[in-house]
Amino acid sequence: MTRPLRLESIRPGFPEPSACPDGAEILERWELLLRRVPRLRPWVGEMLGQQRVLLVARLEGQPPLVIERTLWQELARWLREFEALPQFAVSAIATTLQDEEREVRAPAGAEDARAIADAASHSPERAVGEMEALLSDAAFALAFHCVEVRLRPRLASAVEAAPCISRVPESAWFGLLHSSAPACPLLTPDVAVALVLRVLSAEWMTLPAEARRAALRLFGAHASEVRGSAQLDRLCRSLPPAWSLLPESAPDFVAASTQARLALRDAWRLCNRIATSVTSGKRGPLRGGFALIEVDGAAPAGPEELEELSETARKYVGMAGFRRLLALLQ
Amino acid sequence: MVALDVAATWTRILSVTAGAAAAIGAPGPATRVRGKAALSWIEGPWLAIIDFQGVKRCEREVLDPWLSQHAEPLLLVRHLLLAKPVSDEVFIDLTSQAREAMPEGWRDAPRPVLILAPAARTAPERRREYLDALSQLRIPLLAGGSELWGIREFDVELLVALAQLANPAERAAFRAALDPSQTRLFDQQLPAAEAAVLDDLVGARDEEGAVAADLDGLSALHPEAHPLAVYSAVERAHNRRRAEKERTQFSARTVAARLSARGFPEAADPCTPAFAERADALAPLLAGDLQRLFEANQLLGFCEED
Repeated sequence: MTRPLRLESIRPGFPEPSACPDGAEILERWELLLRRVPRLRPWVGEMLGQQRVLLVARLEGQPPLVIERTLWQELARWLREFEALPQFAVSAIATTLQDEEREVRAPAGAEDARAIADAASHSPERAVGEMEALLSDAAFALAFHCVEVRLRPRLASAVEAAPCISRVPESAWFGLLHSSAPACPLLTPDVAVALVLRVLSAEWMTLPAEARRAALRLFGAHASEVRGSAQLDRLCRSLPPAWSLLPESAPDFVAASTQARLALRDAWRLCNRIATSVTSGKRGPLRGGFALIEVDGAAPAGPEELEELSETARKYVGMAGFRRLLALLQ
Repeated sequence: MVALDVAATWTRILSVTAGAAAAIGAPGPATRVRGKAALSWIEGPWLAIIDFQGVKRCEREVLDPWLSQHAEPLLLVRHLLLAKPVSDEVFIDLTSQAREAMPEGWRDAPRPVLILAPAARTAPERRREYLDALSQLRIPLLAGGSELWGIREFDVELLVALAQLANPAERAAFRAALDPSQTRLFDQQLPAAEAAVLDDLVGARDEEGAVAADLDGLSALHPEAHPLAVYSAVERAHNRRRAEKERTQFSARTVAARLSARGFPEAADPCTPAFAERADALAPLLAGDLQRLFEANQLLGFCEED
C-alpha cells in the first residue's frame, strides 16, 4: 500500500501541483474549458477519482508522486482532446455524459428513481430557501393565501367527513390538484396557485409513478364509475399502501376529490379578484409577479375578502410577500 | 437591449426553477412517453422552427445572437436542429450550425417537426398557416405529412430576459439591482432557470396529468405510433370533454383531424368489448377513462371490431 499523501492541490480532487511542472498552465486551460462547458466539471472530478483508485491499485508500492504525475498526464491528454474539438461537440459530450450518469444511477424503474433523485438533489434547506424567496413576492404570497383560506379548510372538512380516507396525506391532495390543473407557460393567478400547490406537495413526487397514475385516475373519476366497477379493485391495489384505501372507500375519495377541485376553483377565483384589486388600483409600476400576472378580467375583491387576507398576513407575519401585498392594496 | 423589470424577471426565474412551466404543448424530443424519451421513436434529432411572429423587434435583437451563439448548441445537444426563425411566412431553412451538425441523410427522411411559438403572441389562425405551409412543402423531411408536427408555446419574455442576462454587463447590473440577500440565490438560480427553459422547450420537464396518462395508455396499445400522432388523438379526445372556454388550441393536429373537424359536439361511438379487453390488460381503467381512450384510439385511426 502507498502511504497517504497530503494533497494541497488548489482544486479538490486534482493531483498534487508539485508533481507536474506544467500543472498551473494545465489547470488554467481546464478552468477556461470548464467555464465554457460547466456540465463537464463533475465528470472531470469523477474521472480523476476513478483513475486515482485504479492507479493506487496498479502502482502499489510506487511513490505517491508517481500516481500524481500519471494523473497530470491523463489530465493533459483529456485537455488536448477536448480543446481540439469544436465547442458544440464538447457541449454534446458533456450533456451525453450527464445523461449517461443519470441512466447509470437509474437502470430499473427509471421514472421512480428519477423522481427520488430529483427529490434528493433538493435538500430541505434549499427547498425552504427557494420557497421563502418565492413567497417573498406579493403575487405568490397571495396564491399561498388563497390555498390557505379556500382550499385547506374545505379539503380538511371533506376528509374529516370520511375517516376512511384520512390516511391520504394533504401533500397527496395538493399533488393531485397540481397535476390535474391545466398547464400554462405564462404567469397567471391559476399558475401561481398551482405552483404553490406544487411546492407544498414535494412528498407526492416521491411516490412510485404507478401509484401516482392510479391516484390520478381515481381523483378524476365520476361518482357513478366507482360503484361496483370490476376495475376499481385493481386501481385501489395500485395506490400507495400507506393510504389504506379500499374499493369501499373509493366513493368517499371521489367525493373529497370533487370538493378539492371545487375548492381549487374558488382559490383561483379569489386569487384573480385580489390580483384585479392590486392591478386595477395601481398608482405606479407594479413590482414582481404582479408586473407579469395576467388577470382574467374578474371583479375586484370585496372588503370581507381583503379582511380575510389581512388575517392570513397577521398569521404569517414573517412572510415578506404579505407585507408587500398589503402595501399594494393600500 | 430590452428594459428588464428586475423584480418581475426575478420572480419569473424563481417560479420556473420552482417548477412552473416555461413551455408547454405537444411532446418534444425529451418528453417521456411510457418511460422513454419521444426521441427514441425515430432516430435522429427533431427539427425546431421558432416562430417570431408577434415578437417585438427589440426582443428579436436580443434573441437572435443569443440563439445562434449560445442556445442553439444547447438545443442541439437536446436533439433539436433549428431552422431559421420564421416571422410572417412559414418556410424551412436550416441554420448554418444545424446544417453542419445534422447527421448524414437526416434531410432525406421524414422527421418530427416542433414549432416553438411565443405564448399569447400569436392568433389561433396562425396554426392553420403552419399546417398549410408544412402541407405544401414537398420535401422528404416532411414526407410524414403533418402527423409528425406539434407546437410548444413558450414564455418569450422570459427567454428574452435570459438572453439578455447572458451578457455579463447586463447580468451584473441586474444583480446589483436585486435585494442583497438574494444575490447569492440569483447566482444559483440563473443557470438553473436557463437549463429549465431549454428543457421545457424540448419537453424534458413535462409533468404528469390526465393527458400524459392517456398518452402513455394509447401509446402502450400502439407502440409503433409516433408520440406526436398519439398526442394529437389524445388531445382531441380530451377537448371533446371540456367546456368551450377550456378547450385548448390543438398543439398537434393532423390533416385528417382538420378535415374531419366539423365543430363540437363530435359524435363518438361507445367503447367496444374488444377494445376494453385490450386496454384493461394494460392498466386498470374506469369507465370514463376507457371511453376517452377508445375515442382517442379511433382518432388515431384504429377502429376496433366488436
